[in-house]
Amino acid sequence: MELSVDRQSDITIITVTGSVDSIDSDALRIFLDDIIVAGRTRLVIDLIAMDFIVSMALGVFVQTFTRLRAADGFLRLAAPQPAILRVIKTTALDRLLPIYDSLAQALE
Amino acid sequence: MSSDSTSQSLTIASELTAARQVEQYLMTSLRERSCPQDILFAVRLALEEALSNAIKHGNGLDPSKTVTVKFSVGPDKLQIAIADQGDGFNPLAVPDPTTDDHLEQPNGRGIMLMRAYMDEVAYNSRGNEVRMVKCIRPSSSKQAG
Repeated sequence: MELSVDRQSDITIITVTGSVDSIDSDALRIFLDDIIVAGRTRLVIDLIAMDFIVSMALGVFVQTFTRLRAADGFLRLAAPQPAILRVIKTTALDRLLPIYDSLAQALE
Repeated sequence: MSSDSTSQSLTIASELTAARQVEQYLMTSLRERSCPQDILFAVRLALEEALSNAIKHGNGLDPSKTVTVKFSVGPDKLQIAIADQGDGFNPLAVPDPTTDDHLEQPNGRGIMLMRAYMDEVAYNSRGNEVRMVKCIRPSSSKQAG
């Protein structure tokens, strides 16, 4: 897993590249925590280059989503590959997490 | 496990890094058999979830306890058995994570994913061993996206 961060106006864009397994999920949680602690509450996670995910990472998304919602911010997921989207839909998290077809749409 | 299968048994420490090594080993074996990408994804996901459950929930990350992984790769199916040294649990008592009451819970989706991505998932009566089967021919009825 590789993580990178960028900003577009007041939105922080996190790009996740590669596989996110159980070990990576902890690193992802810490990475997102640090961004939120720094005061960023409007996050978009770009999933276009993510090719594997486990339930722990889904849990990180859920925790981040609820935390930002409580802070009047948001978490949006952008451009998941079909295999990743299927995992999300299997767990019904497409009912909870805002998912956009592209990064551009998530930034609107 | 059939006689023409490649069978292996591995015992690992209760560490996620050890689980990752098992996963990489099995994935290499399946790639050598030219398994389709959707099968690789499904097996990797189920293996990750089962090993994570065994290490964290079964053995409680206790370094004195181990996890045993047995697998058999046959011409048309893969069988995996993962056993921990914990007290076991009742998989039927795990709540459905897709209900409104549980949708915002950070945990509890692993078993559901195992069942969704493998063709068979069964626990022993004690609940400390899970056995999973995946048909590995391209014509497998379950596709992983």
